[in-house]
Amino acid sequence: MEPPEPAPRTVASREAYGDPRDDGPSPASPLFALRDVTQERGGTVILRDLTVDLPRTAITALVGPSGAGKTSLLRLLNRLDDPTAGEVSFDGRPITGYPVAALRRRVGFVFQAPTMFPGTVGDNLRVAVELGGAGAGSSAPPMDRVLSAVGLSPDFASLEAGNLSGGEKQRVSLARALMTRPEVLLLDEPTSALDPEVAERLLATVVRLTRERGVAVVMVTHRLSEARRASTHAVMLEGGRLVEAGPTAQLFSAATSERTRAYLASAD
Amino acid sequence: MPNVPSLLQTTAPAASAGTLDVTWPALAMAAVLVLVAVAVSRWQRLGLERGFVVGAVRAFVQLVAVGYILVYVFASARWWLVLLVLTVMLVSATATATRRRRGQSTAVGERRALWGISGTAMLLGSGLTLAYVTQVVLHVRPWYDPRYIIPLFGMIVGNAMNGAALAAERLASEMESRRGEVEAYLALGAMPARAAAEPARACIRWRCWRRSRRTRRGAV
Repeated sequence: MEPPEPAPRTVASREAYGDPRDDGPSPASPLFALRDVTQERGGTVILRDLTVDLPRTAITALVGPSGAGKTSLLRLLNRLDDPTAGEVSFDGRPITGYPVAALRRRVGFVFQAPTMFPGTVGDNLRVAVELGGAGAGSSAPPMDRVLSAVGLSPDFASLEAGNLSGGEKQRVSLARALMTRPEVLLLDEPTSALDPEVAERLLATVVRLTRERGVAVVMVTHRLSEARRASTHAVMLEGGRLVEAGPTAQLFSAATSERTRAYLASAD
Repeated sequence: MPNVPSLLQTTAPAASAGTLDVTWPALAMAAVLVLVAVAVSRWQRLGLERGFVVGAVRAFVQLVAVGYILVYVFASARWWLVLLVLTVMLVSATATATRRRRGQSTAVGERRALWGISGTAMLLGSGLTLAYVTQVVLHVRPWYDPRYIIPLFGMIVGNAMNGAALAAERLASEMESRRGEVEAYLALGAMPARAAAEPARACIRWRCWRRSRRTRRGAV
């Protein structure tokens, strides 16, 4: 699979959410900018003085060994957590300046272990629309199109969500996130619990979404082959610190850090 | 200052004006129960003897002190003094109900919120119940008669305190066991109250079920 071309950014949904900015950020400005970010939990430092830009490329992969802080970083990007110190910017301004509910509808999150709400797959997708309040329904994409976009037939809408397989639940979880028309999708090891064939199909779906819908993706993965094939940019973390960041091809072929070279050579 | 009767008499128990005086010999008889508990602990090598004795002494000192205060309040029968006692009871119940949860939370704002929510809930729940029972059901006159108001509030706020503590524990455990669901709602832009709605409902259902089971047992 070839790395996808950077997708054009859409501002339609930003206008729908009433972003008060008069002019948008320049195309060269990062999507997310982290400055001196430290994250502590229960006295343990998870991220330490992290300064990194996540560009507006189609897919950015966060890689590194277990405990590197990849998921913790991802959770900062739609404010499921806030950093203990430092600042996170989104789209050119501090992330704390956005109303948190509106931010989370612009920046969707798909968890490693998908949780289905009670009811059918259709109910799950409708919940995502209803949470947007009055007016969200008219701007929501048709359910059939979203289901087919994630590789599920429209018949799935009437199935009980709790009875689906792991791979199907992960696809429904992705579809649910897409119902808010997000500009960015944060994926936390979306294929870790899936068998290789299902994982490959899900990854192909993600790549297609970035191409067809202009959705930027930040993805945590411990499968380096996935990062190599799907992402255009990669960030290597270890022990809560940034080791190296850059275009994926460059990172995999000519990493400047010895630690990155050793990790990429040993893993996967 | 009104004439305050002694709490502990040296003579035999005597009923006066609907109250019973506790004599020193009667108190010593009560202490026999503590000695029985100490003996059982020693026999079974439970190592609880010291705790029993310290607890009994502490209870004795506290009850005597509170008793003197209440005797004064009962005798003076002033409305503001009754309200002061009720306030102390409410604050003490709030502190007890939130103690365990406070221990798990380090943020000052979070602790204040816990206090505010628990205190307000108990004030409204217990206060309205007391007002309804004493004024609408029992027609207590004067409305602040301490012989009725203070014991009834003690029972109501004590129950509310246990309920609040158990509800807080249960809500925390529901939130923890449903963390994935709560975070999935939040990630879709749900407000915190909406994201926590189902754990809160489960908590209330559990509490009501326990209460109704206890009520049925009582009825039987």
